[in-house]
Amino acid sequence: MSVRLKNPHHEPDQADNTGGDKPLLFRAWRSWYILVIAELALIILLLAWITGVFH
Amino acid sequence: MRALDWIVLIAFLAFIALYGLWRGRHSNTASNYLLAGRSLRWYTVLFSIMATQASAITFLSTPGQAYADGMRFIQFYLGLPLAMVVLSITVVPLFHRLKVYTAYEYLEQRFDGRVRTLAAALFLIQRGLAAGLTIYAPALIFATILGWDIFWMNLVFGGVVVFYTASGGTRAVSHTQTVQVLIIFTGMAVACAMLLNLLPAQVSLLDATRLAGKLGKLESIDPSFNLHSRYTLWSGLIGGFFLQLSYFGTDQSQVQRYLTGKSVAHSRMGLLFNGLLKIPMQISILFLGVLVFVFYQFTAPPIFFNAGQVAAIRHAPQAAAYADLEQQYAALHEEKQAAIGGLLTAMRRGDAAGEACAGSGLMQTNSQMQAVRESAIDLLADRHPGMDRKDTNYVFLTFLVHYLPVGLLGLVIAAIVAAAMGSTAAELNALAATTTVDFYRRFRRRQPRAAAAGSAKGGGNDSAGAQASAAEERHTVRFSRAATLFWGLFAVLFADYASRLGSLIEAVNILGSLFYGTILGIFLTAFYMPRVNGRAVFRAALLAELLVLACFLWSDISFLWYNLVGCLAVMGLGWLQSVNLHDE
Repeated sequence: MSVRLKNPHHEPDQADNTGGDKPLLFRAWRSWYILVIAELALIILLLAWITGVFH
Repeated sequence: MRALDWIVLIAFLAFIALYGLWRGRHSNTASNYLLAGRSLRWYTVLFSIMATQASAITFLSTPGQAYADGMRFIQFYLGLPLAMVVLSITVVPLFHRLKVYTAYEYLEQRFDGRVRTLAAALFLIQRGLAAGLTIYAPALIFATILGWDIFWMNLVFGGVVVFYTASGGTRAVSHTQTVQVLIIFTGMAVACAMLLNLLPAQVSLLDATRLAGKLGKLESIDPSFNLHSRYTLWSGLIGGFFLQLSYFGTDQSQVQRYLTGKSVAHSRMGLLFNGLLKIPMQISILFLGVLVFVFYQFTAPPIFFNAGQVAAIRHAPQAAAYADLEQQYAALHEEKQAAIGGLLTAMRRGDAAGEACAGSGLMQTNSQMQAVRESAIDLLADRHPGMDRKDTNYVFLTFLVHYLPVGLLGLVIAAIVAAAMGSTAAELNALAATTTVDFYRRFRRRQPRAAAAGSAKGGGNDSAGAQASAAEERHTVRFSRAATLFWGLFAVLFADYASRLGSLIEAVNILGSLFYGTILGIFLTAFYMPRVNGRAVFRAALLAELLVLACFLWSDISFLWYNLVGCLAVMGLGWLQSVNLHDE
């Protein structure tokens, strides 16, 4: 995402120090993103299967 | 409702009010009051996000939708997990880094104050009216089925919400939403268990599922690319993605929920878990509606579920004709029991020929019943022209009222009321935050930043500066409380007024769509078009709004398209103006 600020100096200088940016359970956020997308794919396949089988 | 149901409901309301009061007792600074001190853990953020999105209508209307139209509505939510991933990557770290209170603050840093004011004002108009409808819509359904007075319902439910939201701010809202979500899940589980228990002894869950599938209620995925069909795989994935992106990324009632996370990680986890849980939750609610449909295959349903309309026709000249149709409907229902029995037996045996024969017989009887039902609705419409011919909102509550045992009915009604309260509280909280941060603090003569700057200049030991800053904080909290009270009063009064609007309620929904596209367009321009400046986007937003109004006044396109028109117009006009400015 390209984000441009009119006045970049308006940003607080301090970084977020209230717990960091580390995900729970996995070592990288990418794993969480893949999990969410994989679950979505699985649900779509499951619903498509239900649509076909129970028709 | 019996005495025990009332005790359960009143105990729940009292508990929520007191719990909210207790949880919000330390909300004495602007950060504490408006963002819970940015201290909440991911699961509180998650429950808060879920409770904000799920209103009472979600639990009253969705099962009815599955009853009438099957599970296809689930496709509406397919874009949500993708939107959660995109927002976690882009918006969450940005808003945390800028330490904003509202989404619109970012617009001033990216563009200028005018764009921020415009977006915040559009949000206040749209969400202010929506808050009234969030209270009114379930009140109307409760009034029709249970005979409660709409005015007193608006006043009591709205009053409790305003009480704990105004006193405890965001901390009270988020923690009560956690309890409310737990009550909602409990209520839905109870309703599901009761439904399974009420099915005939010889009908198992698998039988019920097979029967529903045979009658077309489990058709969930439509892979066709049909622009005229409202719910398809592609409209859900693409259209739903943009809708959820705008709702979670630019609507302060949701942005405020994840800004309360104690770090970027906690906010992200809240959103991502929402992406994981939302679709399974909606599938469960829709399946509840499918089970209600199966239940009414064995138990005679009313010909029309809106009891208010039916009660009115009993004393009208059409009463005899309506009673005759009811008899025909009941006779057809009795007739189809043999076909259902034959179908279940054939399915258990794996007899394909018998299944096809009994299935077609059942479908034929159901078509006849539908024709009788349409005639009955025509009679109701003759007596009351302009009435809503759909009764899906009343299906689930009618079932609950007639078949749930005493005590459990109170619990499930409490769950539906909890959903109404959770979403209303978040709306009032967001309206108060936007009024305070985007208008009052900016336009007030003595700016809070001036006091804080005075404190900083004098060093950390400057007690006068610190006192001024503390006084400013207290003043901001007091104003935010007053703003919550104002918006609460506005919502309750609008909810009462809405009860007299009748069919004009749709006009209010259209009013919301008049602004949503423009707000989304401003934010997407801010994120993805770095060359467009404040002056260009401000003009583009005003022109886009005029274009949307022109569509509303002089075209017949569906109001849902106004969102896309407004969004694309802001981005396109903003880009054109930026090109012109660069050329100049």
